[in-house]
Amino acid sequence: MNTTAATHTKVPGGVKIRGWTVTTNKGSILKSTEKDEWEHQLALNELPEMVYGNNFVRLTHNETDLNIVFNAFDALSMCEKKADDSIKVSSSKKWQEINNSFGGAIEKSFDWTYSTPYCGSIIKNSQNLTNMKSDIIEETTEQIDIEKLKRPDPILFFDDVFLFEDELADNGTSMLSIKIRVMNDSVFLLQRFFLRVDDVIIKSFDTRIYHEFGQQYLLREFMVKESNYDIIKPYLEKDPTLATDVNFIYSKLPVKSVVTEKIIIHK
Amino acid sequence: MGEFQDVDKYISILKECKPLSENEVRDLCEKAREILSKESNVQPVRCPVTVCGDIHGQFHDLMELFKIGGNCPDTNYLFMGDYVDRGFYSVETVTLLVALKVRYKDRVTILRGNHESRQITQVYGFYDECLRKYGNPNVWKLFTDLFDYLPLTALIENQVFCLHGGLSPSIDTLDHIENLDRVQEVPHEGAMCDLLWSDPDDRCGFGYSPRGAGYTFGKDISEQFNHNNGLTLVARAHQLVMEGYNWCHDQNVVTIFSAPNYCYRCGNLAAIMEIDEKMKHTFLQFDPAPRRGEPHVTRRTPDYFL
Repeated sequence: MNTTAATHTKVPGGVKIRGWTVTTNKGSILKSTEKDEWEHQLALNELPEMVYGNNFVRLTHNETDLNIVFNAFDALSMCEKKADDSIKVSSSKKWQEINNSFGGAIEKSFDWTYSTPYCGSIIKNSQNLTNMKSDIIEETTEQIDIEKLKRPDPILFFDDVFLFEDELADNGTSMLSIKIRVMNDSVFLLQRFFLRVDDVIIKSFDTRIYHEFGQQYLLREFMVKESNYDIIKPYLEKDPTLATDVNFIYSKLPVKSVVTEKIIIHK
Repeated sequence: MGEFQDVDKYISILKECKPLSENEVRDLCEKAREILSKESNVQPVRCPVTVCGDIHGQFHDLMELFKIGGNCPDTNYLFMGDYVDRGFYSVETVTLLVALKVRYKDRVTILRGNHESRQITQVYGFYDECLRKYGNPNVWKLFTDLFDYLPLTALIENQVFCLHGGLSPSIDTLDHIENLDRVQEVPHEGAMCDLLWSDPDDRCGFGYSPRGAGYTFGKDISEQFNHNNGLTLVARAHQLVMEGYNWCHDQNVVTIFSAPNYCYRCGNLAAIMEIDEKMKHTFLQFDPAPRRGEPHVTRRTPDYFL
């Protein structure tokens, strides 16, 4: 049985398949002037060091004009405007003392970890439903079928897209990136926000989108994992380079919460 | 002529992007320590000179930099730190720069960046690379011991002050810097730390990062510092900028970043600043060198991620 030939066609930056258009874009980080504009528009005191402002991943259902888009601007718009004072870098205590002793500098507050709960922008009829309660999204007990995704079905389109990165002034890393793959029967996307503050905390927010072509909905899973640094310390004592191995650290993190929703296509 | 025979040999090996043997590195580091230990915390530099920012192990782009800026020793160079980590060729990059310093000590100045430290290099790549390329951490140890001797700042013709990071609330004059005891691991706080870590900011005064460590310095601070010390400009590196260089504080401060397409995906330009014999400055921007054996981010192999 060979159905591959007719099901998909290549389009610039992506693929058209069974009523959907899946595209990605990758470019440079923002220019200095663009960065200033974004800071102003987003009312953020400081943007991540590397913002891939023109990058995106877009899934479009052609018939209904339902779009699920992932981009840096919308992601950063969901960052807290004030810093979470419960998270400080490991050397902060000593710093605080010294800073107080010389008279103190003014603190500029912003969420320097860029912990965005962004799980994609949903745009229908040109209306951005990202931050709104919408009747096309409902909670479900259905799970993404991981077993199906483990099958080595041919991948018709694949990409790996960064939205932003910050090295936290060499105190760790904060990054938001996406992987997407399109198979004959389904499309699967993983957006991962990953935060490592050296000697302090590790956090990840995963958004998974899964759609089996022909079904009336997509599944969207949002998973939070978090731990203090103790969980990887014993490994790092043996091999300090594991600190930058995201996959390794991720594999050690406990799940804190999972929510799965349906995004209804025809409504 | 015989004096530099070994070093000339090292340089020709390194220019092929081949690492030296451990014994050669040991010999080179001994020679370099001899020279660097005699340099000042505020190392005087004559013009003309070309000022460069972060390199981060991007060896082929360093070769491109020499193509754009002129070869050593035809052009005098001042590098403002961060030779290692992130890129794939930290070993070859830092060894070459140290070799050039030893060979042309009056024509090449190499300052210390925050990555020239034992702690940072263990996390961000140099330590790992040394283990891979030598099978043991000896070369990493030789270099990180040498890094303690690198000067913290440089002063071009008493006018342009160059350093990796920026200004510090505990430093008002260049004399304060001269008095620091620099031969040590980069501390977590204090004047020496600030010089290698701080960033300019659009707010006045010294700013304190919400991270809980690290200062930013405002335009008023830069103006006052330049005025107090008879300077025209602070040139610094440390921050990635898309254009390779970026003016701030009414041209009292310039940031220079010399690693194009940083981390092989940012798409940024690199820049260097030429200062001629009349102290006039010109910026040269450049793109990444054509790649050899480095990953192409645009062509990733599909994977069955879950």
